Amino acid sequence: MAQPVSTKAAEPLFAARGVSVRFGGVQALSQVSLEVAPHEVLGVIGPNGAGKTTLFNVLCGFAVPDEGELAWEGRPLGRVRPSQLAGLGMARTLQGLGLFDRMTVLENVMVGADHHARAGFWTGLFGLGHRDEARLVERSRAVLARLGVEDYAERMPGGLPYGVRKKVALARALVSEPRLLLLDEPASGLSPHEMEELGGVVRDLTATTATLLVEHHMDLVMSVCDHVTVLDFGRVIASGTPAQVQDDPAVTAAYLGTPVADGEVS
Amino acid sequence: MSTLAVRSAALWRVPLLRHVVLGLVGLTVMLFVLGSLSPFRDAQLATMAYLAIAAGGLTVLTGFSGQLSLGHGAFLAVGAYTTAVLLEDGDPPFPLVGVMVAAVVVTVAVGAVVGIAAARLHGPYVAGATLALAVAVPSLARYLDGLGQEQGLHVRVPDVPTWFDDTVWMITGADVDPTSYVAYLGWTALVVTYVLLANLMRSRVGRTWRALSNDDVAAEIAGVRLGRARVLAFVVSTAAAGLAGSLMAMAVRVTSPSGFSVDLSVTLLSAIVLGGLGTLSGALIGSALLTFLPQAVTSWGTSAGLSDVRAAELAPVAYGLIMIAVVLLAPAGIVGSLRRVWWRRRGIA
Amino acid sequence: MRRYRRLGAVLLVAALATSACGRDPDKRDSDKKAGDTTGVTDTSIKVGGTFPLTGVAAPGYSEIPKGIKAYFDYVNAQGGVHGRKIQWTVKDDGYNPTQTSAVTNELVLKDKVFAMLGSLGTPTHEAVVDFLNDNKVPDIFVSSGSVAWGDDPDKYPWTFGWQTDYESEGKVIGQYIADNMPDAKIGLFLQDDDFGASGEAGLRKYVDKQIVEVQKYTPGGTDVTPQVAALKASGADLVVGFNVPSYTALTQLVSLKVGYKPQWFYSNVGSDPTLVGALLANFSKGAVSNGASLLDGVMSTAYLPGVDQPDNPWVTLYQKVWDANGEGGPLTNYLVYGMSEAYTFVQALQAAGQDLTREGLVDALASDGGDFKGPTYGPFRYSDDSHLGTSGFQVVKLAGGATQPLTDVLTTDIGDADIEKYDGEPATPPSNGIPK
Repeated sequence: MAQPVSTKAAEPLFAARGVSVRFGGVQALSQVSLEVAPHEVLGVIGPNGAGKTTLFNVLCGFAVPDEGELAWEGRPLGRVRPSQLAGLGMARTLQGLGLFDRMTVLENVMVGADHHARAGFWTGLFGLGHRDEARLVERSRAVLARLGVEDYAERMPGGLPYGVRKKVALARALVSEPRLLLLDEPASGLSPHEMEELGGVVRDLTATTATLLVEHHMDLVMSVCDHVTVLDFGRVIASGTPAQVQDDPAVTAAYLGTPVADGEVS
Repeated sequence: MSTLAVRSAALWRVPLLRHVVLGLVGLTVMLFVLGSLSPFRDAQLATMAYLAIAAGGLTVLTGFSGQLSLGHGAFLAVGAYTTAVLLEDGDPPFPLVGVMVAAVVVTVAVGAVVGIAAARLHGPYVAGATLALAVAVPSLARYLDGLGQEQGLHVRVPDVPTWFDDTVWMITGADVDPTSYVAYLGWTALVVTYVLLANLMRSRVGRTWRALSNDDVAAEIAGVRLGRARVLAFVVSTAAAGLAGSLMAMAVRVTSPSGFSVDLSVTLLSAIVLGGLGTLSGALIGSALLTFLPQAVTSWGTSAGLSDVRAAELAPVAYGLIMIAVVLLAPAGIVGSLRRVWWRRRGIA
Repeated sequence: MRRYRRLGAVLLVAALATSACGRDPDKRDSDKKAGDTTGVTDTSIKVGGTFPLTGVAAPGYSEIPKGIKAYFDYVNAQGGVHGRKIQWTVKDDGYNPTQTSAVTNELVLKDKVFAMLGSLGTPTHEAVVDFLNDNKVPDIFVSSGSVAWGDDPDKYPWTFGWQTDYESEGKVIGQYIADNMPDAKIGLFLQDDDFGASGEAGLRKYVDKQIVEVQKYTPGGTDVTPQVAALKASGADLVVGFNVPSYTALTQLVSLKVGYKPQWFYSNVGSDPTLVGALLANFSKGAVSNGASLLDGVMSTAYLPGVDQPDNPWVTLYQKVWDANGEGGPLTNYLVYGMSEAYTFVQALQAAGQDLTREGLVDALASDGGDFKGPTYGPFRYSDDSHLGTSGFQVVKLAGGATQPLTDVLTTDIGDADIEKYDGEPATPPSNGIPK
């Protein structure tokens, strides 16, 4: 059922309303709603099995909800195919990074920039697109530089440190200049220093790009996000600023378990 | 560095110019080589040319865009039969180049249909579907009228045009007999095809193909339209196969169903694996091996004292041993393995 | 960037290497000498042929060139023909026309043979017959019964058949059935190409009204159950098969399974009992071990003596030749075929005379070939109007792995020619085994 329009001042960039997903007999998501405003960072957290991954897949078009709808810039969004994300102005990363191992770092990023490319098949066949190529190269190098990894441009991702590979994956998502970035557990496998770096990048990005991230690491979420939505058993149990959510007893209960009368933790 | 050297270096970096220059060099070399060899070697080179064209298309499809086609022989058959039918009554209704183009067009039409169907399938299912094609298409030739049934159709190569004969004689001092004519045609077509394929591989389209063969989920997220890209790769490879089939019809001088057995498709695949999946130089090497190795091994066998039968049996054994050696020791193929060594030396990978 | 430089370097090196193979001195010559003596020297004659030495067609057929070799060695040991020894080269085409084209190229362009002899197979030879005639290479005694090799000497003046043709065989079989089994309901089992079609055409000239069912197969498929089932369902009590040996074995096996027991009549192509017996054991995985006797009662035709007649003077000669020059193992009918072809070839070489040219060989065959006396039951039809091979058949019955003649030697030709009894005396080989 559609909910009333958000009370925020501006139209949300991206919104999910009443999303429900059922797998067989299990209700994975139940009436989940959230909003991302332009230039803000929204975090989605919750204990394991809360439905974060399912929600994430629905948000970027990988899964079709049984109920509910998505809206982009106020307009309803039908079934989105993954390849259409870039056209809409969205970009996502994968948990497994999904880097192309047989291509250089630069080429990896250039694939992400595909959306901006002008050269078509016939141009490619007759080898005429080198100016277009040059533009793509420039754009890609710029993004790599922004993330501090432009020195790795000619290398293959295979032998590179994990942190660098993560940045390359992020660069690939960023090069299409998305309005909304969807990050799937971006902090996993990172050192505290790298996590800080990542937080910095995300915050810097808010000038142009809103971010929705699904995450486990509380430190990152609390320091980076403007708003946080908490899921448990497929429902939204809390939503608000990081501070508000931190103090919410429902959230604590969800993470630590409801205390039972005689002191046992269930 | 002098201005000329700087300018040249800069120009060399432009892929099109690089490919065209290499192509022209290749054409010139080919002209001289073909002119100075015996008709027998020319006939062998004609075979190598059409195999290399088919292999080039297949390596782009399988090595680059990751779609395994076990049925490329079927597309060669389409190109070959189209050519045979057009050349059936001696002189074709339009120049020979037109016949070859017609063969490509017909094959691409078939390839597009198959490609669209195959784009929806994954991995082993594509292989299975194309394998079915490899068996079905030659059989069609047995049942449809006008395609010569089991005996097949004769193909008479049109006479060598006088202007061509004169030009070649002026440059190389050699005559052009019908066998050599097919070799010239074949190698010109090969150079042109390879320049175009190399362009594609270096272009954005090629990058898209490599991405989707590496990780299609990630590619899709990055904005690649998988279905479209896959069909495009299929169409390109079948265009090459159609051209190869057309040349094959002229080189072999007959098109019959038994000439396009599943054997041909699998052999082509083995050649590009041997040479190095996804590389044009690998396709070239694989084709060279396919063409020259059997005859060389058999000759060696007879001169080493083996009977004709034993020497003939030696050829497939030799090829099989080489395949095993490559798969065990250099699984990226000859060119692929050399590249890996090169990269490691330069610290790239 | 560097990889393209490398590619360019590879190309250049390859080009230099191959051009180092040297120019072909004969390339620019369009020699109009008195006669083409390619492949002939004062002491040798180079002859080549294409055969399936490997692959599915190899069993049986790969022995023919061995027979040819053994006989040529025998002749060479006694001084050769007009003082020239015959050098015999065999190339494998795996019964694949593409390969036939490639190895024929090799024989004609690289090895520069004087003539091609005995090249085997109808679709395979179709691939090269134009090339050979365009290049004016004598294409002698194609091992196949297609009429294409001899019914139009204006089209293929350099090509000659040798064995009986399928259409004539069909006629002989047809007449035998019409005379002896006029009430039989005939089913046909045909290879789906020229071979089967020619056989059918010959048959229909005599027993058209008796044919109740026609079934075809394509070489390669191994399941003939549908065809046999259809033949059984049609009520055919006599089946004529124009098929290769593997399919004799297959039809026999399937008929055993479904309990179908018609009178079988196989073309001589598919009726060698030893080979079929071996194939039966092979296909049935040993279940059928008495294969050769399974064929008892089967009818066929013969145009050459077989190894089941060890007292025939030709077979005796061939056994002697094989013992002296062969690779060991028993004498088989395929070896007999090969040696017989070689015998006729030597006759042709002798007729062509001391001044041996390509044109001379072909002319000698056309003018004198019809009179050659050799192991075949009937005469050859070589003339200016026909390059077809031998024309004489005996209808035979298989019993205990041997053949029993059911008729005298009958001769006929393609088209509407009648079938006549052959009056000639069977020839005996010269005492030294070499034609005079």
